[in-house]
Amino acid sequence: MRQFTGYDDAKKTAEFSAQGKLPAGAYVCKILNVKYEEGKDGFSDRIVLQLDIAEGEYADFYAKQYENNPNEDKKWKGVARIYVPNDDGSEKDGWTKKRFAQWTASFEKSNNGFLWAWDETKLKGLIIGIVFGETGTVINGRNVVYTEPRFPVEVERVRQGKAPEAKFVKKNGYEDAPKTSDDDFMKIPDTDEEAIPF
Amino acid sequence: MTPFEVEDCLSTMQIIVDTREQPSERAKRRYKDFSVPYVRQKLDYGDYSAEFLLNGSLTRIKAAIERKMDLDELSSCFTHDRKRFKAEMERAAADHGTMYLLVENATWENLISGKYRTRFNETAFFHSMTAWIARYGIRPIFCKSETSGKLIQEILYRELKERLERGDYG
Repeated sequence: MRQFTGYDDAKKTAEFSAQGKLPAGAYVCKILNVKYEEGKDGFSDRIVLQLDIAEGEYADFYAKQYENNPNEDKKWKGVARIYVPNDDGSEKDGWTKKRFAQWTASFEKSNNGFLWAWDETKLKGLIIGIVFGETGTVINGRNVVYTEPRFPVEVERVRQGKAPEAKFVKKNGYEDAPKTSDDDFMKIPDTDEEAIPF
Repeated sequence: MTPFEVEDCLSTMQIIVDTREQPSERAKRRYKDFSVPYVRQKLDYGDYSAEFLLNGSLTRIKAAIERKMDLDELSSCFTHDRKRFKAEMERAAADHGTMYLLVENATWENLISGKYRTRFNETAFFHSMTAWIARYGIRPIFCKSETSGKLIQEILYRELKERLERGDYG
């Protein structure tokens, strides 16, 4: 039989839908790109890590997801953000400092010879363990569950299966309603990406 | 080029407005529809093009948009100004540039039925247009004048994105 028009695009769409979301758990990740975003409206500055899974069954998960995404203005979904402390002495800032140091310590322990020297661009190309957790939210009136990076760990703990698990987080009035189809729990629409904190 | 490098390049895009494009009130309204910066520079072909930062250097894309305010102005390009218009198309072709022809306040139907104010024969006009599409690969777009700004930016953005993604710039 003759191939019909649009088959390649339809196949990509089918593969994109079938890929599903990354299961919650700990993964060894590779940092592919680093950006520094200045905070707006009182929010902290952020170091944005664009990453992919580096090892195991889900290696290159985000690259495959990006490749199969049929949207014209698709975004790279493997993103973790490190909030930069304001150094304002507040209790909240103290927590931000601890989390920031947790990231830098995990990078140092995961990459032989690497020492954090206040240059975020040097994080590109490094590996790190990241624990991903599930978050339930409501988008366009529908319950959606997605997986997001929660906290860093050193890669050896991931490899040895000793990394802690992340709790399920509920946001925006998310209820444990029965899902209507697999897609509800698979894909975040690209248009809603900015609302998703990963 | 990785998706991240493509994104970085796209974030630096600015529109080039040819210095011959008159800064009229309509032009200023058009520029207001740009959500990226624009600069006025001489272009070898077309009225609008774009540039972006590649490894620290401003790089111009090989795509341009020639804007005409209506079918009257376009018809003069195939009659009185034919020689100049042809030379412009040939410069674009020699540069392997993609040339869009954005005609405001116009439709194919009005062109074919002679709904314009010059005396250029509608059949000759229609055939000139289609012949030049075949000959120079120009891409005609008809729109209302209030849509021009958005279209100009969108077309140039897509041209740049496609070129970056297919590896034209390494």
